[in-house]
Amino acid sequence: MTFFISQLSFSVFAANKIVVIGSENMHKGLLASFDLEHIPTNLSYTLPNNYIIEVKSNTAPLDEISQQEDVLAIVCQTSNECALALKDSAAKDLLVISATASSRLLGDAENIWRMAPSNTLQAKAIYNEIKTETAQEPIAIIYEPQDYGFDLYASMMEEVFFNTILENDGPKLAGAIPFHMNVNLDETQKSITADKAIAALQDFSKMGIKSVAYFGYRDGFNALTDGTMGGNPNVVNHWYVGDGVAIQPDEKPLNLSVFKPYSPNIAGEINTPAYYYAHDAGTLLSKAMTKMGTTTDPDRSFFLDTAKTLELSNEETKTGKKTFNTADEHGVFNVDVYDSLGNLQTKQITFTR
Amino acid sequence: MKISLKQMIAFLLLWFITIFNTAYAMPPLAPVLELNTRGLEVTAKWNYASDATGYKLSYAPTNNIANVTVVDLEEQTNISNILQNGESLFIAVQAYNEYGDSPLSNIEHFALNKRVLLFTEMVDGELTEARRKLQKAIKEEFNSSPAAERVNLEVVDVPNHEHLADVFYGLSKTDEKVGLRGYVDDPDVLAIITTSTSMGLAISAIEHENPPLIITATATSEILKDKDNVLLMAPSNDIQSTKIHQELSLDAKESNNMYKYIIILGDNPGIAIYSFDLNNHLLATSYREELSILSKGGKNNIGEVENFAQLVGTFPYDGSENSLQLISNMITTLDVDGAVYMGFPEQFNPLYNVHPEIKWIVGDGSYAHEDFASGDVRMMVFGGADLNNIQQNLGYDAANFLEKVVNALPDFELERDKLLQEAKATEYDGHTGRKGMSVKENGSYDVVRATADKWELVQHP
Repeated sequence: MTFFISQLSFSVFAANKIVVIGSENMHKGLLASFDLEHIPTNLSYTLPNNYIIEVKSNTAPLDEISQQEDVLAIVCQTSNECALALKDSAAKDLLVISATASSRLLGDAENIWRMAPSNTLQAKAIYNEIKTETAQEPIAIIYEPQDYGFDLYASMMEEVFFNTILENDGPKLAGAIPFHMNVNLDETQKSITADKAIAALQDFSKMGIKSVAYFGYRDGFNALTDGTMGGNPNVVNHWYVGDGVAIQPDEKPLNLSVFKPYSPNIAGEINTPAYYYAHDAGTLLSKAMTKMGTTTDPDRSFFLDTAKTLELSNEETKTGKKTFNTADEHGVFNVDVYDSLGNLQTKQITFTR
Repeated sequence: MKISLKQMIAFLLLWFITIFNTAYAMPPLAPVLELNTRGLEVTAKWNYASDATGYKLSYAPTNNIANVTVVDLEEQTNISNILQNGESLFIAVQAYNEYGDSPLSNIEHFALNKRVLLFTEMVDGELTEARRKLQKAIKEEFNSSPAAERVNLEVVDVPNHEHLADVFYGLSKTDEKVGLRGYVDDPDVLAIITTSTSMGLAISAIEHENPPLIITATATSEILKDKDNVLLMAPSNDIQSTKIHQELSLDAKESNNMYKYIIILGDNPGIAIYSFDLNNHLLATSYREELSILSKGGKNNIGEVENFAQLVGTFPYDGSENSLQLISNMITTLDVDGAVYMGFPEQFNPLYNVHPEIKWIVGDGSYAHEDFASGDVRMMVFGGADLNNIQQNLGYDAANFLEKVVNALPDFELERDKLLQEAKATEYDGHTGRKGMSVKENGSYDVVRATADKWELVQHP
């Protein structure tokens, strides 16, 4: 009988760990939703009912972690990190919450709850902003051919396509170049280095193409635009970058528009999408845990199924109401527009499906 | 004067007989005629009149209304007949009895004009040579078949999309224009053959509760495959992109370094649907491979760094000097080994001429091999096709498929819904592969290389 009870107890808490893979701001947001304070040296936090939150850096391999039996759910941050959940090597019976990841591919998975709008809406937002700002001038695109950059590029191509076939007056595409600096290839396979990409940007510039959209991460963007790193800040008249490039105010003396998922900018909180979307991920987890409290046979697939039935209302969230697979019904973006003197204007734009 | 009850009854009886006899001694009232057509079957029916002893049907051809034929149908109150396609008549009935004929019923009219439309898109007011060949093949093949005796082929050359909208939706009568009935609501238009992707998409995008069968003779866009009433004769862009990717991978294997290629997209409205759709599929195919390579850090299964075909740029091309210059510069800057061109064949030569040294792959189309004999230009062609007769063979396949569907239907089922239903159940082994709405791969692609004499089939070991 004793054996039976301990076995039952083991069964209940066999999967009790929430692993949070991402930046410090993301850790802070998720912990804040449980009224926990982030302590940099503390990688593990205990919740009521023996649930545990474990925080890890962006480099932690999601697919390997998903195979650990004590992991109940994973919260990830970016498309590249979250896309590992799609691999065959990843377990599919546990809840994965993508906080700010925008890759459309994530929407195909049965176990991924997306908090932020996908690249479909981000591309619409960027395309329409460029249209507003530049009228019909053609644009060039530089993208990092990984999950995030490629997907945002492909989404943008759909916008360009519909504009072309419907003969609308939006900007046309002048060309698109992949940028291999940070992709996971051998150096000999990286055909488009920063030098090559800058040379291509000069070719665009010679033909009068002034606006370039960059779909990749911060390191790659810096390599192209930061003179101290060999970049050329003057080759492009105005950059439009996706949410993968996290620029701090006054950091870049460039004409630059940065598109970010919505941040409500609440006093006393950290005004970044990572913080707020992770906070909402925590709210979802909290609701799922509460609902699980009344069940007699909790395991991770049951936890997943339970979470999928939940709804987060406007009042419960920081970034707007959501259900499983419906983060795309509302795409609210903040756009930080810098000029070459470092002046910043912020605006908010909304695109619905 | 007193009238007895007997006298009263006798009087009333006499009055009733008199009145009754007076009423009956007249011709019947005019019947009400109702006309229905089902396929080539026309049915006329009219109401029964108790005072009629028979009915006469009168009809006259609409082009000669004085030439009236009258048929005595005796006591029949309806008549059905299978008529020739093209028959157009006015029709009315009269009832009669011994006192004469009733006035004519309401006069009804029908015109049987069962037909298939062949929409051919013009470029700058002219049919291209390829479309002329395609149109000729469809006309010859269909009109020589028994199906043409029951269904007409109507050829409509469409100068532009605006005109396509006019003929399809019709024109309301305005001061400047005469009214014109649109094809979309004419149930006698049983099917439509189109000769371009954009036209196929434009027509198939129209929502209709009773849509016609649409056969696209040369369109390859994958978007069309999702439409419930569309049959593609040509193999789709998904199949084409896979074949292109195979060629690029083989080029990479032969290369000592990474094989760097660019994609050039036709950007004019008439070609953009094709080029963007093909690009979309090629991108997806290439990206799947690249992601797999990325997941292993660029190494193959035995841990070696492997050369592969890597996309290094995508550039729209509208034939202008500016876009030509930009692409030319980029080929040099990006150190490009090869290019895939998906655009109007007529706009390709200037591109080739600025960089004949790289390897070119062009999508399906009509290109002149002799222009590229000194370079390395490969073209995608429909698999197994006779290279000199691709357009004809696609035209034959479209016509033969349609013929097969029409022949399978009895005269009274020559209707849109029946034809579409029959088309969905039909498969046909054509000159360019097996065709049918449920056939997953309706053909394949081969690769041919330009030589001075001909397009030569590329055969890989």
